[in-house]
This record gives sequence, C-alpha cells and structure tokens, in this order.
Amino acid sequence: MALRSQRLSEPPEPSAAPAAAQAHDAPSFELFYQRHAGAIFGYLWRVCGDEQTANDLTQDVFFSAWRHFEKLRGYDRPEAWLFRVATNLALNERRHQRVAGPAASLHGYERAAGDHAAQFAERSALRGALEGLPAQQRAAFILREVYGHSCAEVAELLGVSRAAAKMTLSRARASLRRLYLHEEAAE
Amino acid sequence: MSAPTTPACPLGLSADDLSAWRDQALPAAAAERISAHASGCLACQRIIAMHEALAAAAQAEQPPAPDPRAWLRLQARIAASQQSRRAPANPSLSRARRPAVWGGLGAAAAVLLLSALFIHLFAQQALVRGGSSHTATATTLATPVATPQPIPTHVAPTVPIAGTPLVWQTREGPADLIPKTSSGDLVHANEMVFSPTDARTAYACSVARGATTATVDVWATHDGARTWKHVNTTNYGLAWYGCKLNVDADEPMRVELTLVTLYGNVTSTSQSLLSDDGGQTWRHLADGQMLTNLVTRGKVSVGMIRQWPPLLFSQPHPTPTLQELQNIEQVAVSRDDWRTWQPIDSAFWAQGLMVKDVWQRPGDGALLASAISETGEPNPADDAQLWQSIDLGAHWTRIPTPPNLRADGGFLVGQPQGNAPWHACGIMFVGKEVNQPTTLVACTLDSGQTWQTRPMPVFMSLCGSYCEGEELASQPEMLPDGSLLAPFSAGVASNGAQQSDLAGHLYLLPPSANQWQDIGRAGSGADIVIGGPTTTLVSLPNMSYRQIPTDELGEPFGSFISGSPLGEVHAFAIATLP
Repeated sequence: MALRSQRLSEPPEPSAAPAAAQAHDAPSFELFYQRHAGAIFGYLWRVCGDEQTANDLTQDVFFSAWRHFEKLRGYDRPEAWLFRVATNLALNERRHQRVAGPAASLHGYERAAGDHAAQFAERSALRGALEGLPAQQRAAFILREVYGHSCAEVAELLGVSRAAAKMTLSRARASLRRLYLHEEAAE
Repeated sequence: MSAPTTPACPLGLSADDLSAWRDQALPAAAAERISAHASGCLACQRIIAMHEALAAAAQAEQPPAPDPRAWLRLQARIAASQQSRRAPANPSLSRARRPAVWGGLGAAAAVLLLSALFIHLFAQQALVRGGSSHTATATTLATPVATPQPIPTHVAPTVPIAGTPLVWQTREGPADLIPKTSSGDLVHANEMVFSPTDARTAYACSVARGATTATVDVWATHDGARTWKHVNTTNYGLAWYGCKLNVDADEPMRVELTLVTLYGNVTSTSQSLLSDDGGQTWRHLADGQMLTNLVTRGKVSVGMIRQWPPLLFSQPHPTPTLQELQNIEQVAVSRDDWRTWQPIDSAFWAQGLMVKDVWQRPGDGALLASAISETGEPNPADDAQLWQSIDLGAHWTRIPTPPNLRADGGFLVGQPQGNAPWHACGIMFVGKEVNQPTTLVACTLDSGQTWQTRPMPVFMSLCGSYCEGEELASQPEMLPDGSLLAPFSAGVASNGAQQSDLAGHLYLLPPSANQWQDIGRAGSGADIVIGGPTTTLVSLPNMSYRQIPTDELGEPFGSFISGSPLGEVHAFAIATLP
C-alpha cells in the first residue's frame, strides 16, 4: 500500500463547522466511513489487541475525520490520514494503559493464576508475543508486515525518523523471535 | 517449533542487518551483497525464515467484525457535538497559584562530602539479619499499653490480610511523565507515591537541575496511574537535589512535597510544601527541616525531623553524644500543618534508644517504629527493636522480634494495609566476608507473634555476603503480602568488571516460597530510584513489564521510577491484584 507524499500531521483542534455545511456533508461522509471503517478497525484491533478498544478508537478516528472532512475528502488517498490518526490514537491509548488486554507473557514472569491464565492459554503464540511488544514496535511491525507500508512510510506514520523506524522494526522482530519461540516451546 | 541453535554467519551479519534488508532499508550495494550471501548461509536463512513466518502469522490473523452499531454511535456523537458546540478540549491548567520561589543555597563540595558522611551515619541500612522462629515478650515505654487495641476506623482493610498470596505485577506508568527540562538538565531525583488508601490516586515529582535553576515538576493521577496530568512546574534555586511526596491517608487530594537538599547547606536543608487540591497549588509549610518517614492521616503528620548541626561537619568529630543525637533527630507529630511539632520519642531517649524508622497503618493510625540503642551505630552488636503506638506516640509497646538483630541492620515493612497486622522483615547484614554469606532475613506476618527465617536475597548468595565495590546496593522492598522484591544490581565490581549477567534482574520472594524467583529484567539502561532520592540507586536495563487492566488494580504499595541520564523518565507502579 502506497502512501501519498502529503505531509501527515496531527489534526488541528476541532473547530465547529457550520451545522448546515456539516449536514450537507453527511451522505458522502457516511460513504467515506463505510469504505474505510473496516480497515481502520482491523488495524486498531491488531495494534491494541482488544475489540472494544478498537471500536472506540475507530469512532474517535472517524469523529476526527468528520471534523476535517472538508479537507480530507480532497485527498487522493485519505486512508493515509486515517492510518496516521489511528496510529496516534493507538499509541496514545497504549501509552496511557487504557488497553485492558490480558497481560503479555514474557519470559521469566509468573503467569497470573485463574482467569488470567485461562485467557492467556487461549491466545495464539503470536498474539501473546505481539502483546508483549512495546506499542510502537507493535504498530511498526503491523504496518510493515500486514499493511505493507515501506520503512519510510512507517516512519512517517509513527512520526519518527527513518533510522528510528528501521531500528524499531528490527527490535520488534527480535522481540517477536524471542517471545514467539518461547511460546511455541512452552506449548 | 523449538528454539534452534543458530550458527554464526560467516559475514557477521546480524539480525538487525537482515531486518533492514527485509525492509529494503539498506543501500543498494549492501542489499545486493546480503541477497547474494543469504541464499548460501544457514544462519541468515534461519533468521529470514523466522521473519517470514512471523509476517505470515501476523497476516493470517483475522480481526473480528466491527461493532455493527458503530455507525449509529458515531452519528449520535456527531449530532451531540453539533448541539453542544463543545468547548475546546484539553483546557490548559491554571498555574496562577504557585508556591513561593525560594532562593537556592549552593552546596559546596566539602559540605557534600561531610554531609554524605552524616547521611551515612544515619542512613537506613539496607540489610539486616534475623533468626528462625521466635517469640518474645512485649515490653512497653511510657505508660504501658500491653495489648494493642485497634481503633475503629472508617478505612476498612481491603487487601491483603496476612498470608493472603498476592499476584503482583509491574506496570508502566506515566509515559507522559517527562520533566520540563531544558537541554542539558539532569534529572536528579524523582518519586512516585500512591495514596495509602486510594489506589487510583498517586503523585509523582521530579527535580531537574540545569545550569542556573532547578525545576520541580509534579504530576497527578486519579485513575490508577492510567493517565497522568502535569499539575505544576516551579523553578527553584540550585540547592535542590530531590523531592519527596506524601499523601494524606484520609484525603487523597492533600499531598505534601518536601524538597530535599540531600547534600545541602548546613542550616537549610529542605523546603516543605502542601497542596490541598491535588498538587495544582501549593503553600509553604516549613524551612530547614529534613522530614523523613513522613506519614499524614487526617491532617495529622508524624515524621522524623533531622537537623543538620554544624558540629558534625568539623573533622575529626567524636561520636555524637546522646544529647547531640536527640537535638538533631526527633520523631514528632504536627496537628497544625507543620507549624509546630511535638516530639513523641522522648520515651525512647529516656531508655537509651533512638528511633530509626517510622511507619503508619492508614486504617487505625497505629505507628510502628524501629529503634536501636543510641550506641548502636558505633556498636552494631546492639539489638534492633520494633515498637508500636496506637495513640500517636503517647505510649509505645514493644513488638516481639528475634534476638540479636544487629543495630547496623534494619527492618523492611510492607506498605500497611487497613488495620492488617504488620508485615515486617528484620534483616541482619553483617559484613564482607568473601564467600561467607552472613545476611539473614527473618519475617513476620502477624505483628511479631511469629518470625520465620527467609532465604537471603539471591544477589547476596551470588556476591558472597557483600558485593565488594558495589556502590549501588540492592535493597529489597517488602510488599504488603510479605513478599520481598529486590533488584539485583551488583553489576559492577570494584575493578569495573561485570559481576554477573543477572545484573538488572528483579527477584521476588513470595511469603511461602523457599527461594527467590527471577522475574525478569528491569529498566532500559536507566537508573531506578527506589523509595525516593535518599535511597538506593540501581541500574536496571531492559525492563520487561506486564500490563494489567486498570480495574484490576488493587491496593497500592509501592512504586519506582527510572530516570535516564538523558532526562527521559519512565515510571513503573507496582500494584496488587485484589
């Protein structure tokens, strides 16, 4: 998936557009939502690892998109903007620990007893390993390997330098190799 | 799939190289070289295959269907926003009312050194020694109170009760806890403290020293460290080295901040501030006092006030007399926002004892104090003792302890929970005999009725009794369930060599366990401050942590924050699961 070269920046603070204009945009915005919501939800689910959070953040992404829809619908590839906003929200969410996903299993830790262990056992090795990654590494890996963004595009989506993106991807793979192999061996 | 033993690549290509190659992030020549090489290199092929397998596995994951009501919910939100014309998000915090700015007092090098000696004299000793099962007879100071009588309180003990096993996890805390430093500033100290009774309220502070000023930042969280808000920044003089926080057990919005000049001026060593609004505005409480072991409950504070008498800075100085000691260190209580303090340790002095530490149970306000003979510092063979008061120090009852706990040892006390019995460990730390581990740990979960010998910390067995040359000692923390948590930081020997590749690992000793468990590495090339700026610094690289849902946060009992030399600060709050 190629990203448009337009600069992706943090959306500005919301400014209340005239209600009439917003109402006028509603039909096309619904079409826009229906076209992109599935992909954004899937991406957020992969990054956050939690369905409810992914639904909530998807709504946040498209609420933001609605506020900037006048500008956004002029883009050739508005999904780039959506992915950038979704990435920011997901990283912020992970950073603030709002993601109430099961604990990631890391080598050397005791797994929690009871329901936590049961929940964990039901998860695939990869999912467990992914959840053990820092949020930025996880997002970088998913953007690169699942959505096919180039290293430069990953850098832009994460808001980091290309060198940092390259290192983040390498670290993500290293962590996944270690965690994934450990999970596989444990099963 | 099992972990294979990967042979070395003859070209020395690393996983980083192969990752960058996969990402097409290498110069063309380098990429071509790897492409040509990889097909014939078993080591590279294994890594490449693993990368491909991971990618394939990630691509194969199918997300669930989005919530079918999502569009309707979004429409409702849009409609609501059109109606309300919302106010701008993230209104900036008012910082109009800030604490007064005090001029800083420089800390001369000689004073630093001599102060360090003074600190060493009175610093808590990290490690002690205990005996095996033991029961002793209680004695009393002042008017005898033979049997502790818990005072009914509205603060119910939630968790844990003695012996209840806890699952503990670390949690990355305020990722946005970034000190407002200028380039080149150094974060000298930071601390995070939970409310003793409100697991969702915690405060964090940091002191960053720049070229001309020191900046004190304060953050607050009221959702269990899930989100943090920067609530105050104030610039001070250069004297400040550290900040210590304390939260009123009855009023989570009341927080006290003490700025510590750890190696500071003789006559003015700290400034104390009080906030009644969760750290947003502060008022000045006191100067020139170094308050340690501070506890506040219902606006009544108990703390150890340490003065800094000049006499200790003249060399050579004889062993302080009892009167000198009593003058420079007192346990006192204040009921008027620290305007006046009344000593509550006179009975100890009368018995030739000196209080070393004080703790308070938030549930009933009971105080626990450890004490040694006033000759204990030069004469470590003296006993260390535990005493309890249920009337804010008017009367003290001795808690049974194993015999022969040396005065150069100390007690670890778990964060008190409600009215639960005291959980304490007496640790006797003897000396440096090579290959002669002499550190013993004896712990009680029932306020001293019984004591059990616990295995010595693993780092002690690794290093012998003492890691020679190790300045960053590994001090255990006692968790409320009686578990011990210790970082192993004996990474650097006196000759600079790495003593063990286990350096940086955290070790846990649950109450029922017979050996310490390695629970992973901590830190990210960072220094971690455990228990505040005056205690042990440890270097814990590569912190691994588990996330826990906020709604599973139980009672708070501890925290530590890591601050890298670059000023980046990460915080890890430890919480129990109910």
